[in-house]
Amino acid sequence: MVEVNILVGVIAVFCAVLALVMLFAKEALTCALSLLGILLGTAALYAVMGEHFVATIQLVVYAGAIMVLFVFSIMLLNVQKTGDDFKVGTPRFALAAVAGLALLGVGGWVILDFVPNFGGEWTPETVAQLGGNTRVLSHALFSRHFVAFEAVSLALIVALVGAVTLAKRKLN
Amino acid sequence: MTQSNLPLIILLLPLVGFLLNGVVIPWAQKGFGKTTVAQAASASTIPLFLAFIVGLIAFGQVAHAPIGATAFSWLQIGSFSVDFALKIDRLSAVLVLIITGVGTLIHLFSASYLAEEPGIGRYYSYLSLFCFSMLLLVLGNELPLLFFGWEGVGLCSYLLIGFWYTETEKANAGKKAFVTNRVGDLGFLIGAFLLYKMIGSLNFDVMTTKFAMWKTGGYDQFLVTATCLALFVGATGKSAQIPLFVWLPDAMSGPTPVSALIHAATMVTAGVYMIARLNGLFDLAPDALTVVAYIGAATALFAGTIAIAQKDIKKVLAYSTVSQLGFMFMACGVGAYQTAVFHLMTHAFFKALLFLGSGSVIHACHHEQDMTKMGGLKKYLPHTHFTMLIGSLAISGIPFFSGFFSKDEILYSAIALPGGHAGVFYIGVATAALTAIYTGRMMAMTFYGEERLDHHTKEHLHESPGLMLFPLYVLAGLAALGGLLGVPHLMGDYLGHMPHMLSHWLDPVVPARALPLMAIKLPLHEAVVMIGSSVLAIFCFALGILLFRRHQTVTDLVHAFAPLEKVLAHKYYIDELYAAVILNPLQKLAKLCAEVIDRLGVDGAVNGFGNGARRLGDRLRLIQDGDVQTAALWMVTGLAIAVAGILLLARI
Amino acid sequence: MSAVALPQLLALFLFVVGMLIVLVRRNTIVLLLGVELMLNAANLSLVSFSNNMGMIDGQIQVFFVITIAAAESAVGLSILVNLYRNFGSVRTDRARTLQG
Repeated sequence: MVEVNILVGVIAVFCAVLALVMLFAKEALTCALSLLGILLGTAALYAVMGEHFVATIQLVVYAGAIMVLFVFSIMLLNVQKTGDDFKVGTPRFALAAVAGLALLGVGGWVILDFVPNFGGEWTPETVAQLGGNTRVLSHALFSRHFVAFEAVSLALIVALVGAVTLAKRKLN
Repeated sequence: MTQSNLPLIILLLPLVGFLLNGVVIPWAQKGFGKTTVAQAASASTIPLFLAFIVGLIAFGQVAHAPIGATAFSWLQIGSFSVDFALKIDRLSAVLVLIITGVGTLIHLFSASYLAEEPGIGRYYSYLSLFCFSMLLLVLGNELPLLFFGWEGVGLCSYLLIGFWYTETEKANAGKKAFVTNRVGDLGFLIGAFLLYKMIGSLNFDVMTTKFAMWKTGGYDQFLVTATCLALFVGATGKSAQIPLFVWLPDAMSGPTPVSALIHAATMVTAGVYMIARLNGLFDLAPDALTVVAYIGAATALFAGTIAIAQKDIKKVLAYSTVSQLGFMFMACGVGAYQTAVFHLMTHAFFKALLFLGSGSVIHACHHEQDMTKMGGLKKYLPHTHFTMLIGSLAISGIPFFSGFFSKDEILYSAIALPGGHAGVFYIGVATAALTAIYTGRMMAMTFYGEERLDHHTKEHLHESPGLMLFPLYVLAGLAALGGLLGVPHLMGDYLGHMPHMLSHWLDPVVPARALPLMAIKLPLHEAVVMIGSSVLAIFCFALGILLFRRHQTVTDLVHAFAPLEKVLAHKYYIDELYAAVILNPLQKLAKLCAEVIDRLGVDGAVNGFGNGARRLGDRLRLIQDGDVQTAALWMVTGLAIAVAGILLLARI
Repeated sequence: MSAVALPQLLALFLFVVGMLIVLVRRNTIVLLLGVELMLNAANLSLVSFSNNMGMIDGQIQVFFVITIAAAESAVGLSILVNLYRNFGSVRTDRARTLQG
């Protein structure tokens, strides 16, 4: 328990620092790589918690596909150092910071007061007994959530078509 | 009261004439102004004549009991309800016959007088509408119905006086008549409201019963007097008394038959009718009656003095009408309501006759109305002269013509009745003398003496056609013999117990006052008054004719009279006085309202709101700077506040 | 502090920082990265709750979220390409056509 907490704590600090880097970095590529780091950290967290399937998905899809897409776009558009990206002292930043801090404060208060309700049946022992995280998830996915699964496939096709349509050059 | 459809038939027949002339015939001819005289005249006259016949039938029936009908329930507002209820009783029967009978004669006269008028369809439609309104006024059994007719005749008089509206002066005369009437109507309305407040109903039957109950007390004297005075103000407007008589002389701008019908026979008598109808109420307010009597007397004398200095033949007759109406109000004011109705009837005959006769003269002289340009017309217009002579004798009060009986009764009532006043008597006598003089003057200047016509007019001089002469003769007969309906007891007893027929007829509705043989207010015997007034009338009439055969104005006779003559000829400058005191300040006030209050104040406020909204929009518009992130920032701020608020509140 | 608190706090922090990136940064690509960060933070919160409470519905939901996030980022980048084509830059303050 203590090891897990320490491990979780280290990963958390890592992710938090990278998030702040992402907020303040001047180059777009730095931001992209920071996000990559955060994704890796999050995947590690999932793994520590025993969610192997989600961790793998996260690595493959999020870190592997999406971030590649972003880096490609940055390369294609040749986005360079954009100079004065934002000033810290502007009213915009101040107001945003205040709103953010407010949300942080209130949210943190709620979280710390939260007493979760352990009503679930999927304890780690049960999951291990049933063949592991992936097998359990896939079983639930293809039985109870099948319609959503098909709908998501449709959404992916739509997104694919939409992305191509939006980005292609207009035929004169 | 027996139920009958006759009142409704009588009322609706002139309306048929109006609809025919106003709607059906123009629709059939696909345009206004294409009606021929024959079409228009028959469309209006035949229904009115039928109404006269039905009126005669009703007259016979009413001898037993009043006949009435309720057409429908008109107004129902809470506890205030007014039905469209008509009733013919003995009083309204007399008036119905006058309206329809004299009206028919005037309709016939107009067909010939206005034979070349292009707008004849419009004219007859207005005449029919007028007859409908006047009949509604006298037939209505509810005060709002009377008022409906009251307003209707006011409207028709506006339409008819301003008939030739393309001439600004004539249009203004119509406007003046309507507006002056309206001022009086405010008084009428106040009186009606007070009546409703006191009694709770505006039905004449209910009111009459209540008035009878109040004879023994139980009424608020102040309210009753106020009501009577308010109603009398309405009567001064409609019946042209001081101070609201100024419209009647101007009303001579309209066609002459209109003057005959409206301003001699019917509309102006509406005020007298109203007072006679509400005599029970007026009896309870002796102070109001005194006011009525004195204003009537003052008006009579006032108008008489003006009449003697007028050159236009129609203006003489107009002021004569005002004067005679003053006599009628004098009669009402001393409590002799029957006498007022009697004089109303005889006045309808001889005044209509005089107006129609003057129309005949004007028609012959090619629309010349100035008496100084007439003279010696007796040999050219014998029939017109004869009939007008009868009318003049009647109005002057020469014995045994109709005017003598009614005027004499008024004069004697002024001193014989308990409600009489000696002052009213003296003024009445003076006015009677004046009446005879100016009427004689009118006859002399028009028919006798040297001819002052211009050459062109003299060539075209001819007697009027038969259609104009027939009504003149009928009215002359009535003017001559109409008085026999009201022979006083003093004379009647000598002539074989001839009764005062009108008095007996009106007794159940308008109570009689027993006239003692010896007057109360002034110790004179009735015979003395009768003989004295006859002598005075004959003398003054003869004086008028003889004096004015050669001269045209009083100044010609008495040179010192010149300044007074000027004042009289300009009718005491009363129109100028009203303009200065009332009209000009009103116009200035209106100008102030329009230019300052309306333009700067109201428009400024409205435009100010608009401008303010626009300026606010201009400022607010700048919030949108095209930056999506600004919008997102505001959204998040709102979200943060909302979430924080909800969570914190839930915690508390 | 329960076992689920630390991942939750991290998720909250990542979410707020992602939000700040969206609100404050002027580069559209970085803005899209911020959106991805917010989605990721939500995923983390879902998974940790699901793990702690013994239900697997959270993980199923995360599966769908990741899928849709991928689709959304693809479409978003196409829009970005269009934006670049029309306004000549990826800066957000260049696209001010709706300025009042």
